[in-house]
Amino acid sequence: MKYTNILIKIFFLICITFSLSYANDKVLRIYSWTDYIDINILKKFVAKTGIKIKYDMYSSNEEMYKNIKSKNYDIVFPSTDYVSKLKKNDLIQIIKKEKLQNLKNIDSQLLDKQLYSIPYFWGTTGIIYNEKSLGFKIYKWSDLWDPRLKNKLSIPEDMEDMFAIALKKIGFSANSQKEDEIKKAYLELLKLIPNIKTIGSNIKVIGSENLEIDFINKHILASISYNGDIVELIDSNKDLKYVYPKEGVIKWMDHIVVLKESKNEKIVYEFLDFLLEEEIAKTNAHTIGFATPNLNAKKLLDKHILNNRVIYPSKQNLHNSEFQKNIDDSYLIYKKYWELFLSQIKGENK
Amino acid sequence: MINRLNLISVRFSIVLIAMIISFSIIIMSYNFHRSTQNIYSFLYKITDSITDNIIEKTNYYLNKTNTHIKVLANNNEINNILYSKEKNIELMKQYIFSEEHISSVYLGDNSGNFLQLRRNPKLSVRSIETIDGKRIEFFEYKKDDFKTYSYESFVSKYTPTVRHWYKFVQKDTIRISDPYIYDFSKKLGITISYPKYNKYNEKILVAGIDITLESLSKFLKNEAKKIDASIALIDNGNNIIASSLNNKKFININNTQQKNELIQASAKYLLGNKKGEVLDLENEKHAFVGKTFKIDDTKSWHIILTIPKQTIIQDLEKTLLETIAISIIIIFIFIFIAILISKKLTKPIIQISKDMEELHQLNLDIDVKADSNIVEIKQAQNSLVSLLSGMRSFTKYMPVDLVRILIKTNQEAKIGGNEKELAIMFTDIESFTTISETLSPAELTAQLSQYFNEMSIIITKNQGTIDKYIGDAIMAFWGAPIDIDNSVEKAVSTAIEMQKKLAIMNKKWEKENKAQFKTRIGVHYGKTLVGNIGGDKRMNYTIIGDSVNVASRLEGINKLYSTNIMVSDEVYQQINDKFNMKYIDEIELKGKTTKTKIYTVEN
Repeated sequence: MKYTNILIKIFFLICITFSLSYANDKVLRIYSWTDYIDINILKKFVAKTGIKIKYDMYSSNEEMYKNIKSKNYDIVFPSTDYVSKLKKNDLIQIIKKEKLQNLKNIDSQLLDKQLYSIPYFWGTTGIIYNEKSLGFKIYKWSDLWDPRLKNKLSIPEDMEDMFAIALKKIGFSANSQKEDEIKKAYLELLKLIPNIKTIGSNIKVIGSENLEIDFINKHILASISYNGDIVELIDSNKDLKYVYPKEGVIKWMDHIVVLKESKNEKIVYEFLDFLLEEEIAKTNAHTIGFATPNLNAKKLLDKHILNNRVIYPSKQNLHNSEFQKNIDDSYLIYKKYWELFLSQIKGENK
Repeated sequence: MINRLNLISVRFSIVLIAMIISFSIIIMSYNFHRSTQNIYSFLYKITDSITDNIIEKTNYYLNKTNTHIKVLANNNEINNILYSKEKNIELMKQYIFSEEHISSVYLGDNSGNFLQLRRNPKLSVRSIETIDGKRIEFFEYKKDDFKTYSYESFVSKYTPTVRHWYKFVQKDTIRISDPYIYDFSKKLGITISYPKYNKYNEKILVAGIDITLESLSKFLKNEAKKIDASIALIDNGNNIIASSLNNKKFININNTQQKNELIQASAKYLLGNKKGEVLDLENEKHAFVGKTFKIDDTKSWHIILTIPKQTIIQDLEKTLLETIAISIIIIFIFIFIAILISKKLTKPIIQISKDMEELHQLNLDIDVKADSNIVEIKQAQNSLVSLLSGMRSFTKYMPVDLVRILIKTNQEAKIGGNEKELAIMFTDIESFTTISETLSPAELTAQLSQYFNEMSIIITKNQGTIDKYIGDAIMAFWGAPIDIDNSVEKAVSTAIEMQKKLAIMNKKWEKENKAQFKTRIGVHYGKTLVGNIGGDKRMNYTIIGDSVNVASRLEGINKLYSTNIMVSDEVYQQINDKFNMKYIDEIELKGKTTKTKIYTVEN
């Protein structure tokens, strides 16, 4: 009997040891945009929970969409349109509100009824340009087609953004689902090609893949950029200006979603709730430079950030602005013209 | 005598050949021995040069790294290395991208912060800091262009300040660790560290650099390939830290089950054998040499080199075969020369010995030539020629047959005789005194010697022994010293032959207007004393006794009966059936008491 007792105790000890080590060995796998989470926050989380974090980075929604199928990520940070896409393809799971104490910090107007995603950051897609070198002021999207910008423009490698801009330029909705309108936008984009120097991180002709250096070297004089990415650039270079075009700026929102395949529910919620903490969210927003939907965090932000119109635009700045929505129904149409557009650029590059 | 000479010459050749062979073997063995020694000394030289190279290489790494590490340690103004994180990483980048063998560069400070740029398992910046009381490790994975593509963070178990490279490094001193296997790359390397102290003499931070020893292995591989050898570098802990063999594992000589030649050789070397032999896994022999050298004040490393014996011996065997071939050729040449020389030597010697034998037999009709090129032999030949001519003259004055018999019977001439029955002949030229008066002495001597010559030849031919010439008379006998059959018959037929010959000679002389010789011959058969008579120094083999007088008387009686051959009754009794004999008279001979019948022989 004595021995049996001891054996049982040993067995339990082994079980406990294993379960503990198993817990410690658990890894939270994050897949997000390049440098989109403050690494100090990640370290803090590790310090608080002992959970190991792996954070891989992508530079476009498409890249993300392609890779989540092959890798075991837990949480991903797609833009609004891709949330719909992921949802439609049954790749994400409904988030359990009751498990997130800090969800209350988020602007409730931005939350879905069926909670598939939590807003992470929002921002605008506008124009940054070197007014001094260019020699004229840019007010609107159509100014980018000006021949004086020939071979001096940088654009993102993002289908939705570029079509939204072209649609806006010719007076259609940024989220148009009509093929004739999309085609017209495509024709506008073709006219833009002579001005395009770099696309995304791919260089069309020559130049650096670093926007800041390209601006300093004057390889480019204007760029279609996300506001958060250029906050520091604007601060450091007074020649550069961020413009909310008259036709209406493109607004977007990135969300946190939990992939259906995720098996780490406990640590996923632990991490999500941690990210939603007002202090953490504030620090994160401060570091990353985009506008936070976390109202309580926003309250904690420095005034100079809150007053920075690049990050937090005024109502006037947002006149005619549109949030990007899911273009899912007309995705294939967009895709078709986008591919045509890219092949035209490459053709010209040859 | 001839065989003996041949034997000697054959032996001489054998000795000569044996000497040459022994000589060749000695030279070959010596050659082999020396070559083996040379190979070893060659191996030593190679080991030396490799060792020097390794020392040089090691020093090269160390010196370059030493500079880097000092710069890195002093790159930080305060004791928090993460404070100047970007600046530090910039330096680390420079080092790691410029030196292939640097696998990792890092800094640790006294508050436990750690910053590292590493190559393995992936190019990444690793930092460890304390956050909210927890040790947090953070990785930034870098692409080749040093752009970050992934982060990783977890609770760290690594404490730099307890590590040897941090803990044991001393002020103003560069510390070199023992070689060890790196966690991720599984490569073998060493760690070099250098500290920074503050003004209170406290260690505030330490910089470290990991160097892989892979390039040493590469170097050894290259060197080993050149000479078909295997080379190992062994540290003071008996670990193989670099080797020309493809050993990925970290091998300790004392604790390995592996038994390849290099490990065995290393084990033997570490036991104190500076060189020797080992067997590999296929039981092939390998020679090994080793060398120990210092890498700093406290550490010594060893270089072990093994080379298949076959590789060494191949060349030696080739040389040996060549030597054997050359030796065999030389031996054949020598044998040929030896035979030639011995022939040249022995041929005249054999000829001399043959000639001597002939001389011994008193056969003087031989032709001796003094034609040898060898001085000594020529002298011998000359002497022989002199001897021959001397003997030719001499035999004319001596009874050749007698001497021959003495020679044959191996006797020396001694005073004394014995009684024997012999046929005795006496010849004399009729009216010689008258003839001699009509001739000049020269003419007389010439004609007489011609006469004696011819008569002597006939006597000798018929086995007669010429006792002496007395003036114009010849005294001869048959039956001594050699016993012969029909001695009487031979004596009588000799007499007839002599007369016939004389008739021919007379006819010849007549034509030449020379004097005519008429010879009277008496033959008797009877007992005589025959032997050496005279003194010890000079003696004659001669006959004495009445019978001699009888023979002489018979010769004289011819005058009375006008015959030219007169024989006694004793002669007649023995040969009357063989010759045409004619009874002449019965007379009383001087010296005889009874009357005796005398006969003549008709030609």
